[in-house]
Amino acid sequence: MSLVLARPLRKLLLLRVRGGWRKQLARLRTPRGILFAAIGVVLFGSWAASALVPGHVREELSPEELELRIGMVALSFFLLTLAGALRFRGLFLPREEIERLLSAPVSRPELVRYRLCAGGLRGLLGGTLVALLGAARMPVPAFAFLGTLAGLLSLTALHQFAAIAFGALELQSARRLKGLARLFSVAGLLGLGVLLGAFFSGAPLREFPLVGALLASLEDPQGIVARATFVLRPWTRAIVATEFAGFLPWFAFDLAAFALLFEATARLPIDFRELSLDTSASIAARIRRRREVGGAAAGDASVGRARRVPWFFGRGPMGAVAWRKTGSILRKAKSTIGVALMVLTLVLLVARVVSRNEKIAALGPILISGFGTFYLCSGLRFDFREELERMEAVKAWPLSSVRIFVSMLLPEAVLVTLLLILVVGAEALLQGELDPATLGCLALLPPFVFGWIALDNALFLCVPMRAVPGQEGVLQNAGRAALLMLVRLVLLSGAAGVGVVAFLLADTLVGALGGTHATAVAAGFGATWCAVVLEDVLLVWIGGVSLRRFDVARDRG
Amino acid sequence: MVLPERSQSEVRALRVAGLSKRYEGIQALSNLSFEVFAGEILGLVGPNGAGKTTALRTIAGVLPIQEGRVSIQGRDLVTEEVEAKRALTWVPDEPQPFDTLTVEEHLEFTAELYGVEDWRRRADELLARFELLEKRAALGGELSRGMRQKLAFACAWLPRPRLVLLDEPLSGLDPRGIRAARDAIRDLAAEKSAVVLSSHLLELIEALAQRILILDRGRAVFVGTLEEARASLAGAASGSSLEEIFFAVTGRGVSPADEGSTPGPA
Repeated sequence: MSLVLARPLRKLLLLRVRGGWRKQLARLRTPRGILFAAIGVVLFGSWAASALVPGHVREELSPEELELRIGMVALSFFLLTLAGALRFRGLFLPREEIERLLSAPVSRPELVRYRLCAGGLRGLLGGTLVALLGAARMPVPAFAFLGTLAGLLSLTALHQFAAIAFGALELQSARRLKGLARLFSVAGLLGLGVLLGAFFSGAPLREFPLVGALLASLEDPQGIVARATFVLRPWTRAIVATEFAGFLPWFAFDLAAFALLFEATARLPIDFRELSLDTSASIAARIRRRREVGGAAAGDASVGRARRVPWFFGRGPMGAVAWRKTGSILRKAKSTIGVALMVLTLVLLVARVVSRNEKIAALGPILISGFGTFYLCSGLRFDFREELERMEAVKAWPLSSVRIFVSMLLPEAVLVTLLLILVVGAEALLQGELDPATLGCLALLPPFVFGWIALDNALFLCVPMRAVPGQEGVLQNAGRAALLMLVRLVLLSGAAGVGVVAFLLADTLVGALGGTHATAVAAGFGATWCAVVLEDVLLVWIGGVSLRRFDVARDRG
Repeated sequence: MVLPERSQSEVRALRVAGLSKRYEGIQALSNLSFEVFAGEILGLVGPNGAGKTTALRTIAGVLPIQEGRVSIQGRDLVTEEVEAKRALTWVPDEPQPFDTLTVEEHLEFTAELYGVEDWRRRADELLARFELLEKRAALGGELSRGMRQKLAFACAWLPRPRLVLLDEPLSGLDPRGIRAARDAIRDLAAEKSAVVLSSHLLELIEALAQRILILDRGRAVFVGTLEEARASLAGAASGSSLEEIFFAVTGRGVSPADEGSTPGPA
């Protein structure tokens, strides 16, 4: 058994670790990099510190209950790992390693060992954090930390083992296993829907046959879930151990299991090259698109013959820019819009129950509008965030920067607004009346959604950093996200404040003049609407200036 | 062009026999067979989608062999994979350097990979040859397209390989870089390395290659020297350039004299 890497690959690993640090440090050489990293560190540090306070979230559970809970968490991680392996089969090699290492004089087992080590190192930071957070809740944090870390390492090896093995199965049966992964996802989504529906409908959970059985099983130490977690007992026992004598044998077993799994993965007699090329190309494309965009805009355009895209926003230069964006949305985001409609339907259901339970009719449309705007604008991103690699062309268009800014954002804003109007309208239909809150939401949605997207883009053009999970620049991205949240909060509070002041003034005025309370509410709402529109104008101006100042040579994210 | 003498003493650097490859219903390579000898430059040409890159990637070991055999310096690429690969280096059409490694570290890693002793002196020579001396501390991610290409050359030349596979090697190079690359390829052959050079630049192939292999839809439609091409292709004039022969063969303007088999003395 050889757990030691081949010399050249060990060298490569060391060089890459050193290079990674060098790149991180290089990011801290600019004031912008330092600022956003500092915000990120503060944000991240305070979150981690709050979670790590001993006893903060510790619950009084019996050892059996605790082990069962840990077992369930471990089981879900285990299943997620297997589902992930179904999606990415073979051995993942980054684009800079594919041609170089597959043609290099190193054996395939050595390559697998190298990737396992590289993947393990990459996941070590996240794994340490998860282990630390988990440990704070356990009887002996040190045992829990080590046990969790050993478990996470084994999961990394398991993922690779399953990805190569599933790949071989696929090659043999000549069938796509990706369908299975989708099936798991849909089943998971349905399960979540049932649970949420049961939870928010106020009905006792046990009345639902499936949910009832599941809950009973979860609580029963002899139930099916408990039995399913049996194979994971060596890891759970190490995590929940209360004394050294109880910890050491399980921990030693975990390490041995990891070593065995590591070596078994490396020695799988499977030629994974075809699958690896396929997987690596698909992941590289995904990373590249996420660097450019993120969310739905990172999807592939539909294959086959594309339909003609209508000129919804008229002809002329601005119309042409908007038309191009519309085409991008219609061809890339079909499935995301479908999923968004499903999620919004779920939100509608929740909103109905919440507003009924709380006996506040206004809550429903406000919940839908707020959550819907947040969710859709985070997922779609068919705006400048999709265009970072094409900014040279964008900047050369014969249009003022303000006009380019507006026409780039308009299609996404219109789509999000229409989707939300549809759901808010459906809520009103179910309610059987069009109350003032619904009307207000419907009127406020267009400027509100546009403003939301305009702020995202204006800040993005000022600080064009791209958040890609697992890639570098995490702290800087967290810092920018925090700043974005802060600015958004200020703008929302500003608009709401203007409304409240207007309402109070109007209320005083109509009180003196003998008018109705509804008039004051309308005045307050009208003032809020005007404030949001004014903020939109301001954001468009800032966006235009940011676009004009955008330097394609420097601002590459 | 001078056809190298074939003799018992001549070292066969690459032997490809009956190589076939099928992708999702498409026959990318069909019964491809050819040889390349030490010190020889073989020009690989063909229209887009002819299977040139697939052939090179299969020989480099990036793609698995579905059918047929490939041996490098007499070592079978399947049964003696690591030993066979030790004799070859591969420069893909779009070299991807490691973003976070410096130019020098790329060479350091390559030296380790191929077990090159005293690599620093050789690396300095190559950095100078490919005008990378000033870039030795630059990160891979910061290099321009042409610089990346030059770095790939330096890495491929470093271990003094017995076989070098080059796919569109002049892409992105400036005129000075093109001249340096051409000279470097010639010198490599002079040092008894075999080179398989795939390019759409037919004048480059004509200037450098001793023999040419024309691929069309996965099949070798001609293997031999330019003179042999002129002789064996019906309708080809005696002074035909490679470009004229290429269009004749792949555009059906001139049919191979011997339909159904690979023309030329492969």
